[in-house]
Amino acid sequence: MSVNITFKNNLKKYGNNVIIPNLSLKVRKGEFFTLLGPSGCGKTTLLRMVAGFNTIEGGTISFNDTVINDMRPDKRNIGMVFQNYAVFPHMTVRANVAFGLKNRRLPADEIRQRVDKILDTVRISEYADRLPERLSGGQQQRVALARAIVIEPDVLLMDEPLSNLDAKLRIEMRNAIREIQKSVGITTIYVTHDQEEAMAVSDRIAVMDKGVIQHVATPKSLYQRPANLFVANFIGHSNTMEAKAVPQENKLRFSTGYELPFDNFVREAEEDDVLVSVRPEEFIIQEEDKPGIRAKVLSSVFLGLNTTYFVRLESGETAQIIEESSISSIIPEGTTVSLSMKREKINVFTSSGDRSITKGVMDDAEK
Amino acid sequence: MPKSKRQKNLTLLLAGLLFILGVASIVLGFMGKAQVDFFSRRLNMTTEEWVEYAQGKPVPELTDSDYKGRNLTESGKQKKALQEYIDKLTDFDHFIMPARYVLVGVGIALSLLGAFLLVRREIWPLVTVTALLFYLFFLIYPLASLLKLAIVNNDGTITYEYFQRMFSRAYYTNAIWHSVLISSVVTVAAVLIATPMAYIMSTTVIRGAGFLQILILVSSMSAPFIGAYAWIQLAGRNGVITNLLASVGIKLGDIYGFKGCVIVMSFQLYSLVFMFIQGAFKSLDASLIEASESLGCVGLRKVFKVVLPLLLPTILAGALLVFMRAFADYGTPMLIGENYITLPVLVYKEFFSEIGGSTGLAAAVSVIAIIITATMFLVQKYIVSRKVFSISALRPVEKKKVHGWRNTLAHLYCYIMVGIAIMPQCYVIFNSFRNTSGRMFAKGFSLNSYKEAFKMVSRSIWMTYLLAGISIVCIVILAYLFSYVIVRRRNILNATVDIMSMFPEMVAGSILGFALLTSFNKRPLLLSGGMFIMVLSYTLRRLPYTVRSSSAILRNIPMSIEEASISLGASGAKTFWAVTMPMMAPGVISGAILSWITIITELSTSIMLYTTNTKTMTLEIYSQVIRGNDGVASAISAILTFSTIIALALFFKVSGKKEISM
Repeated sequence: MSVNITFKNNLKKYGNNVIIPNLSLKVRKGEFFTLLGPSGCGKTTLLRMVAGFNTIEGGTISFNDTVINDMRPDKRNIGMVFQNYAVFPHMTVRANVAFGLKNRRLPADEIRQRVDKILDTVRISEYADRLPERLSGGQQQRVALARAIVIEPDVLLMDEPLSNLDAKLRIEMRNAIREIQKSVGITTIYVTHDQEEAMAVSDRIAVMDKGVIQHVATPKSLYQRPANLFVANFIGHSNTMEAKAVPQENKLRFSTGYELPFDNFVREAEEDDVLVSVRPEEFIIQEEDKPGIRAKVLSSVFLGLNTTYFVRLESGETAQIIEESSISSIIPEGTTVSLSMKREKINVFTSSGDRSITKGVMDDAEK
Repeated sequence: MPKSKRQKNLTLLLAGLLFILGVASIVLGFMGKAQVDFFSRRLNMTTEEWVEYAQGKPVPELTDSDYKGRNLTESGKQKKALQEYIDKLTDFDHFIMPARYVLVGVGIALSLLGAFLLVRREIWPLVTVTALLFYLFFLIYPLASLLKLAIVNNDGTITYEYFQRMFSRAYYTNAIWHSVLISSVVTVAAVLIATPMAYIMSTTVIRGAGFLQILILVSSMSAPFIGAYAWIQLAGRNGVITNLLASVGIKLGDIYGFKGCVIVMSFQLYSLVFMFIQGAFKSLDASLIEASESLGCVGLRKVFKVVLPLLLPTILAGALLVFMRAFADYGTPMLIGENYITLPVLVYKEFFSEIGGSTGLAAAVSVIAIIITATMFLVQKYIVSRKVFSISALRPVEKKKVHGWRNTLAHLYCYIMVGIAIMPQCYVIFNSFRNTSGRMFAKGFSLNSYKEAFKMVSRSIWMTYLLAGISIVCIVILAYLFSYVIVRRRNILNATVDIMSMFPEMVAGSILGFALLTSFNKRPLLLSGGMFIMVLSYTLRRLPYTVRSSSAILRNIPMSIEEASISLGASGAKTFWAVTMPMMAPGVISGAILSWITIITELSTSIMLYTTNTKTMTLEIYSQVIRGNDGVASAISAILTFSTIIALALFFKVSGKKEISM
């Protein structure tokens, strides 16, 4: 039985040090929800508040309509997966997985059935009677996952569960986690600092910085229409350029004088200095004499599918461009080119960077 | 809605009170029992009889038959003493003596109930409070009353008379000087023996090195005074070597006194320094030595310029430990020191001597001893904490094979030194199998000594294992609880528990025994004269080591393991029981095994606290030696040594380690 989780005006501080000033958020029933942010942004702190290992200094956290602030962690019916697996080293895989069921005093044959079933689901049945020290990192993480979901928790919490695994295993495991979460349908909060991992697994993502939620949206919406410059830079890579917005004329005027037709302004946008965020793949490289921003190629990296160029713009800033590799030769260093942009994709922010003035931004924190 | 916070706090308070009440009741019960034992033993009657009188059964009047002429007969004296004791009893005594079993029973029930209520919440504040009360009552109070004895007169005024008397008489100042001198010389000797040996055994291939290691360990773990005893048998006035040399005309000097103490202690204690240095060698990177060689610094120059400076902090740390042990040793100077009196011996004599002894003086001497040992201890801790290289080596120093005379010399040195150290043990074991007739050794071999030992002193053999067993159970339980609050619930109170738990290490065993004895010797705090105070002293003395090894292992267990258990629905108590405790077990158990060895081989505390009912093996060896009953003494010593070896084997099995750190 899974639940929705409501965070209402949550405050977290250690002494006088405020970690999370005032956070409100709704996580939907059965959803795979990710807290994403740089280290120290408060995402793990928030997760541990849900788990009951951190106190809540203000506001409430509720599962459905039940406030859990004062509920003991062992009574919250939570499954938790830790960064360092936290598999009990003195118990076999089977005993590890059965631990939570035994605490719930279920009959022995039911425990056995459920453990067998979950071990099958996470594909570690063959190691059931081994001690964890004889398992690889990926296998131990599967044990931790099985142990957390076998108790049919209301909420599954995962704290950077893949960060101790190597790159290849990480991709394999994140697919497995996604698949298993969908099949059991538990409301899941997942914490990571890896934006690619977050995009791969999540239904929705909350990007956090300095204890404040910056943007909550689906991966696609986050990437394509970030709510502010921080999100644009944190999710994927962005080149930022100064420009002037001229909404009346549906134009962006760059400092170099180049004018780009742009009609994606929000209604309330005014003529003002703005920051234009362009992702590497949103540039269009043209011949030098075409209209655009002039740039000089500094270096290039051939990566198979794509080729990355590092260029210096005529305004003096450097920028990164990604182009699908073509069969013709790579543009040599020192060549001057003219850059245009895929105008339906780029994003425009206020000059402070804290708000997007591009049409189509979705933010559904459901405060 | 869950219960309000206020209500919760109230339950917590109530449960805490119940628990403390329960514990207090248990202590009262034990005090009652100690009193009953004390009086009934004095009066030579059964405990039941005494309790009946204490409860008001009329004391039989003195009749004519109780007089022999004008003098009282034995039965008359007893009746008179009984009346005197009963007149002395207070209401408090009337309450606790008959109720002693009820008190213990109710106490256990209450504390269990309190503990149960608390376990359902959070037990750790309770552990902190219990720990602080435990140390306040059984450590701070005894040491404070020791100080009080030293500076407060009978009439309650502060006096420096005892200190003045102590410093004005050569008898006392000499004892202090002797102790410092012996400890210093032994320390230097131990370092001089151990350093070359550790260097040789860490850098060169020595045949049978593994075997030598075991011998070194066994000699370091054996009861100190057994060495003294064996040396007397070998090189004493009537010793085997003395007689052998005398028969070819060589007259050996006297082994008694200062010389004897130094020889015995040096060869027993050098192993501590050896193990310290050997441990340090394992964390010394080979490239450092190779770098020095490539820079043209080789041979002895390399040793003095590179190796020794790197090892110096470790050597110092080991040396100070040797100093502490030598300073605290009671048995060795008592047996082989003869008129060369040291501080622990002085305290014992001053306190127990029938004539001329003064408790105040003994206390003053103890205070001086504590100041010296505590200083040494703190200096040692400081040096260990500043240990220069604690990084583990990427590539440890390899043992090389040397050839020619160097090889011979290296082997000779190691074998001779280890040989001398283990010789007393071997000789004692050898003696234990010799045939005896009466108290003398006879030709041939037999198990007579063992038979005799079991016939005469089987009680003390079992008593030793019983006392050590109970102490170890207490130590294990307390080590689990204390180290948990120290490591996992860091706050000022638990930091205090941490410091307190280390404190007994700074106090020599006999001094701690003396402090306990003087503070729990009088009603209403009468606890001495039973197993309780012996177990208490062993627990206090050995807890530091076990708490340390338990804390070390707990620090390596990530917090998330416990959180995982809690998130899976286990309560805090269940988590501790099912997850934390099993994971801590190797550290706690291995600490406990080493503690067990030191308890069964310990003499200095026991000799202050024992009664005929609680005589241990070491005490029995001691009194058999004094009586000249060498066969039995050897047999009990051998049993002790075998117990030690078995326990050591168990230690290595449990801990999976290859060496012991002190």
